[in-house]
Amino acid sequence: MLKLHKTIESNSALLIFGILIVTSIGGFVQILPNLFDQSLHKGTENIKPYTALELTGRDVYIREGCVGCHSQQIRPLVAEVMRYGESSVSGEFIYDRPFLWGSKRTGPDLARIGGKYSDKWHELHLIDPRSVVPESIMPSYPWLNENMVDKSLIVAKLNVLKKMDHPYTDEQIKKAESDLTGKTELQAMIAYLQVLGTYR
Amino acid sequence: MADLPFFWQTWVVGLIILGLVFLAVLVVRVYFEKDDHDEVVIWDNDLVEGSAPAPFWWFWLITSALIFSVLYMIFYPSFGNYNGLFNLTMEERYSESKADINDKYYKKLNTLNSLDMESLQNSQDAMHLAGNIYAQNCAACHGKDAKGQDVFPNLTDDDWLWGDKPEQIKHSISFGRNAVMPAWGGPLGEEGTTKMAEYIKSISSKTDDDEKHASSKQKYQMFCLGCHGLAKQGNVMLGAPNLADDVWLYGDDIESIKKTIASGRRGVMPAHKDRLSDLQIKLLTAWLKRN
Repeated sequence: MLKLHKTIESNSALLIFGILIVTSIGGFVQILPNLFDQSLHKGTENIKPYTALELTGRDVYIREGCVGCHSQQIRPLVAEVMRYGESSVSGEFIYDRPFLWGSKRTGPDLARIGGKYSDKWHELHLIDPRSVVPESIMPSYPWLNENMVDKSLIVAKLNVLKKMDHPYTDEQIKKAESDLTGKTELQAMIAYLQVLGTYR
Repeated sequence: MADLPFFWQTWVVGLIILGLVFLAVLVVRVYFEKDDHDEVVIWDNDLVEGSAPAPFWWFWLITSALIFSVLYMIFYPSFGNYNGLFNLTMEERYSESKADINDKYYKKLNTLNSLDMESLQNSQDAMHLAGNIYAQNCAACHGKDAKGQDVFPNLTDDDWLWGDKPEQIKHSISFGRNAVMPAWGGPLGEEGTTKMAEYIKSISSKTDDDEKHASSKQKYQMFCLGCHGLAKQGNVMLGAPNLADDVWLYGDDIESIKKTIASGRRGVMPAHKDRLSDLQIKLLTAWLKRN
């Protein structure tokens, strides 16, 4: 035993290899089989890839770190289903790269926020949350209303996603830049929030 | 989650068994195999480096972890597709807790199904439930006290843009409402808009004057009459507000009224039919009309 130990310990390449094997066993058991489970890769009936504007809003959502305080996953627990709506299913997230499930709820879950409030409410709320929810501790994001969206990368983004099997048509990609013309980041963000959880 | 197919089932079970056997062999060999070459190294003439055995509490720790994991896999679902002796599955836990809430919440709710508006309003339980539904779904826009805020209307007064009958309120909640006030800034022009705003405000304060507001009066007939009506009473079919009362959703100062006339307004009430059950909507209606 000591001999084996000595061989491994005195040969760093072998040691690294051994560590890699041991630490990946958990992944081999828990993650690998799921990658091949086709039922987890199938979208829901109504699933659609994000439009250029929604995708831009999603990027703003990521940039502002919304995911740090808002989760986007409703677990199948009664209290959650009652408060936030039907529990999330894997097919809803096939066009989320990366997914924004989050792991912290300082604010409420947003998985089914789409359609719950009017665009105007979101506008008031993002610019100054206290104006509509007096006890809110959410920060204000007034600059979203002042910044125009960055449309320089949208065609490239859509092309990359298309390579990963997001069914964008050539026309959608061609129209992408003009879809974003004259839009503020606030409008993009609201467009994104209003589709969250509606593709079930 | 779907059951694992044969290949992955074998893969998972194989790796688990392999891992456990590997750990068992390792721990036994480390503690019980005689080492044939215990090399003793001597440094600097008198510093002896021997090899001390690993502490024995490690042995018990690893062994008990091994035993625990085997027991766990016997009783709980973790070994491939095997559900364990307790036969606990996620689906089952979910339906159990759903049944639980059915008992606590929906059973109570369903006893209210047969009640009419008035008895709902007299039932303390019903109003308590309705208050909770309001707080969760409506308060963000209409305010905690339902008195409205910003551009979201007050629900506690007698002024109902889309009608005050229970059926109309239910419709507003279920299907939402889309109010469209077009922009009249173009046709009226800068001066015309200001004059019209003054005229509209004067109606509300009953100080309108035939002579002073003659031109606006005429334009009212052309542009505004269709929705807001001859007597300025509004139209609940279109969500057009009464202009003769003193309720002003978008502000009653001249500047606000000018803005409303010049660039129009879009009031949106989202539809709730997919979020709330018919009974919950009925409860809300009763709660809103309770005064």
